[in-house]
Amino acid sequence: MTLDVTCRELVEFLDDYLAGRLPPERVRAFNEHLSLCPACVAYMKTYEAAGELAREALGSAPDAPPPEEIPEGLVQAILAARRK
Amino acid sequence: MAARDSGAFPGGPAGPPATDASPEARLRAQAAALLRVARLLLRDEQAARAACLEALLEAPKANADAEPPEAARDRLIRACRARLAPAPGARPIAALLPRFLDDGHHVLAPLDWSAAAEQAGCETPGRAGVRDCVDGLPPEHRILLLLRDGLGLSAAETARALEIGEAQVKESLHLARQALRTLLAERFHGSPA
Repeated sequence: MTLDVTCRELVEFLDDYLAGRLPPERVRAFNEHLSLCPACVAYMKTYEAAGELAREALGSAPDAPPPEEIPEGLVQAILAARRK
Repeated sequence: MAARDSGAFPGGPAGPPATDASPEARLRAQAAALLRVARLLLRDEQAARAACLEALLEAPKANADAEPPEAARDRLIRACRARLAPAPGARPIAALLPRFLDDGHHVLAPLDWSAAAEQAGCETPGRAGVRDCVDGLPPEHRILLLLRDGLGLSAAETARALEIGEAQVKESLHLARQALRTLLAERFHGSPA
């Protein structure tokens, strides 16, 4: 495949490409590469999927515990230190 | 990625303590919000409490109640970062990145498992499994995913909390996402490709 963009370069700048941070001529070169390289299309799709999975898994943390459930030892230690 | 929540305590119902509450009530509300963040970052109750204690004790004594909420959160994040350890058997980031031939092509042609959940025979990565993969990242990369994708901090907020440049946040986050992709492919699809 004789393109201006290699698979290595596409992966290196994939985040910028997906975020729309690349100049137009670079975007055209990336688009051309992707139209001819199923391997990079697969990489891009799974890179995006990994990000989505991470956001789903990490963004679902439980709410903060009610203040009355905060460990008493933690509260008293801080209050004592602040009184010194 | 647009930050989901750039508040001082994302998602925490306790939120910033009411200004008319007693010092102890304000402290409890602040500790609740911080503890939620610490639990997300560390997944270890004792370590999370220790990080909270450190972050709150380092508040300026003269005006601990008056400092901006994000100041305590940033201290907490640094306290948590210091407590993150590599997972047993964890590999360095370089070993988790895709490899290329001299001509720039992939050594292993990547597989498209993005729709694998819909395919028979493929394991669906549940939240716990994905979190395990995140914890398989080196700590310095793991913290970026946790802050950006977990807490929804902006790049600028992440950079300030970790006391690094935004360019480093962006570069390291890209490496972290590539490495996470590899770990997910290995765990759920049997191949690093």
